[in-house]
Amino acid sequence: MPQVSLTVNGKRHTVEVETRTLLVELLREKLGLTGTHVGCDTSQCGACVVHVDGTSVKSCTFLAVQADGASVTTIEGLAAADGTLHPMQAAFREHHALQCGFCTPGMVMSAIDLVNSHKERMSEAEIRHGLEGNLCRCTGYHNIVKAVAAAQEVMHGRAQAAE
Amino acid sequence: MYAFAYQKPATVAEAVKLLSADPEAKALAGGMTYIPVLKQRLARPSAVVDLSGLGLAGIGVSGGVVTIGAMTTHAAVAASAEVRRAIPALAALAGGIGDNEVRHRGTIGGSLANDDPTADYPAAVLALGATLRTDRRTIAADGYFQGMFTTALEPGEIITAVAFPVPEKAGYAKFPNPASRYAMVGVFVARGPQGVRVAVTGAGQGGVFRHTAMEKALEKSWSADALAGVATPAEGLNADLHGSAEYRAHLVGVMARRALAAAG
Amino acid sequence: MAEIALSTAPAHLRHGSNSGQPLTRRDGLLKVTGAARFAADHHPPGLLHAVIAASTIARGRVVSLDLAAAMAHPGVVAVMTPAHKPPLAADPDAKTNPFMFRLDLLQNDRVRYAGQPIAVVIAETLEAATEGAALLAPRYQREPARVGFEDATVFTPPAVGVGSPAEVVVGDVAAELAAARLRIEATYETPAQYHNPIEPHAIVAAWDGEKLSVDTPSQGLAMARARIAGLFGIPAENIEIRSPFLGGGFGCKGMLSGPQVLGIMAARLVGWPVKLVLRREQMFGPVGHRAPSRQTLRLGAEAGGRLRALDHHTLTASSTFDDFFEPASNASHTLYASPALRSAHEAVRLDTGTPLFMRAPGEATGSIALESAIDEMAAACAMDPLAFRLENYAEVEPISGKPFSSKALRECYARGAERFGWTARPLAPGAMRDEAGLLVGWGVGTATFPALMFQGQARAVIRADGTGLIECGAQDMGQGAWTALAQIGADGLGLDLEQVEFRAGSSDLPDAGIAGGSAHTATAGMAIHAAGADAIGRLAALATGDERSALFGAGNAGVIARAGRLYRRDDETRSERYADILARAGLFEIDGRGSGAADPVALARYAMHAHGAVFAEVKIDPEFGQIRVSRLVGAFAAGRLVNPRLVRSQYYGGMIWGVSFALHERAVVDPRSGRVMNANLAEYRVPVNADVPSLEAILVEEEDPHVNALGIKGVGEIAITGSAGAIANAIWHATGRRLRRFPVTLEQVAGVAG
Repeated sequence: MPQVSLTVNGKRHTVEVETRTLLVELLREKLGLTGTHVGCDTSQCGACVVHVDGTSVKSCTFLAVQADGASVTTIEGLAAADGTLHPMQAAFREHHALQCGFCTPGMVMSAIDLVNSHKERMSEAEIRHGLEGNLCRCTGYHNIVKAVAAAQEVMHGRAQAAE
Repeated sequence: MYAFAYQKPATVAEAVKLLSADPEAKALAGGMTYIPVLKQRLARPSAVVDLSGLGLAGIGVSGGVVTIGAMTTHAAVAASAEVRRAIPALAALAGGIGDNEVRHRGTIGGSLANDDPTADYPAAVLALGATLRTDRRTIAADGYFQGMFTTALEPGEIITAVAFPVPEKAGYAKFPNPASRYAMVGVFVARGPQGVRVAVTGAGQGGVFRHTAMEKALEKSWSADALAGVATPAEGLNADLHGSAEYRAHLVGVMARRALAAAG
Repeated sequence: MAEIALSTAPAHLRHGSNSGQPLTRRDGLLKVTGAARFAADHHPPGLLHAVIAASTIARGRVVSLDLAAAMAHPGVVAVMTPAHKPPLAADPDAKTNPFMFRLDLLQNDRVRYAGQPIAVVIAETLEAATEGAALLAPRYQREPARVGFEDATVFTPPAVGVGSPAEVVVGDVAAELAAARLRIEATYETPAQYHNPIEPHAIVAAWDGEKLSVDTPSQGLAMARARIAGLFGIPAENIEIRSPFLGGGFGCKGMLSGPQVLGIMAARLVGWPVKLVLRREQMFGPVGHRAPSRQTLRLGAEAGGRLRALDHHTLTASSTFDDFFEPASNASHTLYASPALRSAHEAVRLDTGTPLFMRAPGEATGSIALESAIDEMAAACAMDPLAFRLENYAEVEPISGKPFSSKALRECYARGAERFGWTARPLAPGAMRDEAGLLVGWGVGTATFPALMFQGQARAVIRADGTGLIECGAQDMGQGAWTALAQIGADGLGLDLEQVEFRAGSSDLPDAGIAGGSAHTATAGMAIHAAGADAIGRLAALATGDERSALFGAGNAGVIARAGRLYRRDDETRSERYADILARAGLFEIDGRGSGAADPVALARYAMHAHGAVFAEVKIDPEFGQIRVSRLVGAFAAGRLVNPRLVRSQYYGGMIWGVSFALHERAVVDPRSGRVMNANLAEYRVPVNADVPSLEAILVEEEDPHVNALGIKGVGEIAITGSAGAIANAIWHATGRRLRRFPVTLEQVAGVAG
């Protein structure tokens, strides 16, 4: 069985996996990082989005072996050690951009990458388009867009964080 | 998933050797198509050969040609200042493939090797008259696409780069499948060193095709009026739960006009 | 005897009230950090993984399974089949009450629908179990599948919904139709729909002798526990179910499902904890859905627009082996005043899974047809559709003649219309275009949902340190029950929200009833409110009977609880802290119990519903037939709102479900195989971000003294009703074409006048 060495949320792990093990299962079952969720079989829903080497990917469409040597960030790795939330997490909470919470980790990770790749202010339409890889059945997306719009100001230094 | 071995070669030669030695081994590019295929148990490779270690990503422009490495991601093509300057329609096409996460991993080489009949890149390659470079030869676009999921690639052959001659004018418009965002119909029109070329993806039962009637019309007059007189027969077009063949034929006309407008 | 004026006096609720505050939900922190544990996130030691193998035919028998191939796959530990499974104490097909749905628990080799579980593979890894399930390669004896209305015999069901009569008649429909100046008759078709919460059903089950511990999403913990107890022949007290977080329910997690029980059986079989998670494609069959419908409405009106007759007939479908008949025609019972009114239902049995409550079951389906028909009648009368609805406004409930407990619908119409700009609407269809040349249409729909309550219990505790605890087996599937109920609990205990611990989501807590029917906040809230009053009452009795207390003798005047102190109602300078009362009595805590249920007197006397008005703008690209909803404005009146922020979110979510109902989602069944062809989120369209229009929800305030002491109606489902119809009506207004088959697809609209 192959071995995979990867850094997850700043911590180095070496894990034995099968070649067919998906990254999402490595994170959830082997490393106990269950914040990343599985919602579908066809790479549609985005509940599994994490960051690999700084960009958002669907971890259900990524073999664990492909992550050898990579640096992965999951939802659990966003907040600071003292518990201070990442501005996107804070914005989601503040703007009630979640209900059941199942799509939330993937949505937050996608949104962070989206904002990271747009230094200029995104319009509502651009935010909606940018999150088309994440499905939500509860919220109607309205508050999610508001949260991302607010967070992008903080993340690009145009506004202060909520607290 | 069926079990399979995993290999990550460091050179193209090594990759070709692995793939040629074992006919059941399959190349893995971004995995955006192939991993779902494995998950659905639609393929049973003995081994998966990861191409991401071969250094095949990169974009260069020189002498009127944009060369894109086979492992360049859609996101990189969409964001590339060089591609945006030289062939903006190509950058826009790349930026419309799938969603953000798909674009972060999906590659032009993977898309072209797979030749999904609803993929976007085949329309660009065919309409721009691009050349595919592989580990052993170059293949012109016209000879490359041979039907649904069928290309001119030999067993074990790997695409290393795609060279696009910079056109005078080019535009792409697609009507996306509401759920998967694949092209229900995508039309790429271009006027370049090889004349006027119009390529249609998503619609044809045999995969991407050149719309010769539209090409002739646009050669006479590069205008929406010229296209207005050209009908697209429904025969040979796809029909599924998202649209009939007649609807797709209708869409071809509409998207061609929009692609033309985008080309300027 | 201390008089505690808590249960009915609004004054108590106003003092530093937590209710009515748009507070940030309490579980938000856990959810944005990934710390909220859903069922599939648990991994007890020794865990094995189970994966269901599901039938690919809709009707027939499983003739063989390749057990050897599955067992030979490395990591596979066992394969559970009809021939090899732990014994059950009850027959899965036994039905001792209408809410006990028949389950597929491998009781025999019969196949009743595509997607039915036919085996379960248990293995050391998820990958091995998945592969093992695929290796079973079942062979079938197949019978032709009955998938559409034409394939089966129509009959009249004995009852519909939760025991309503299949037919209800008021007045003489035939005579009134005949006498009406203007008549319309229209038939509408709605598709089969699947709930598709983003969290698939999942269960982690662990046996310890005859004790069972379960993590699984459930909208009804007590009912689930009772079902398990019956099936396995163990006392309910032996079973602990934890469901603190559900990744969406919408009705499909209301009843314990077959797959969840199969997970428990698998754990029993192998003697180890087992995790079973449904694949997305397995969410299309064994866990319920909304049946397709064909609805025929006949309306008759006078020239001035006054309705004379409203006849609503629904043809629906259930499975071949169990009963669930969606009461769509009942949507016509309460909204429009018509002297003759008839609701009727007929049904067929199809080779599908049994349908189940799906967000606004009956109400949503009936509403899109009713609101479309009302609009068609308005057009026949050459009247503005809003004016037509106002002309037929019901001052008493049409089907029963009962007065409404409260009804702020006129205000909803008025405020929604104003916000939307309705007065600028041209009467004629096809008259509006935007700058880009898109056709524009404006439509309206009326929203309504009954104010239901089930039965719930709660416990409230005041502790020695003056803080409080609420215990209530309430379920939060995202609607925010935990936050809203905590607010009610804090008010009930006269404490600030941060001073109150709230325990919910587990079966060892008092049964709060099912989270469904939009009834949870009212039901559990009333139980919590009563429990708080009971605790405060006992605390007050300690004080008022104690000479050393500032409240001694306050009996007749009573006390008020606020901010952790009890105050004499007649002299608020005299008060005492909870902690001090308890300390002096030598108690470390005092508790109270309460229950919530609908008041039978109020039920008998009043019609109790929430109401709303939804206004929709659509834009249609005549070349593509592509329809976009560009604006939705919904004004809703639903009694007292405990947390406006949460309520607003429910309205947004509901309105998007209305958009989806009208335009997007449908399950497509292959008539040859009986399989759902789009059993995945690639092809079964749930709205994506870009599909969502500008959304506005207007929260109309409403006081209802009859519905319950807290004045709470429900908000979880109402926003679908009205929205879907408003969109259908807007499409007509944009194009002049009345489309009656939903979802409205591109091809239906393409090629319209452009």
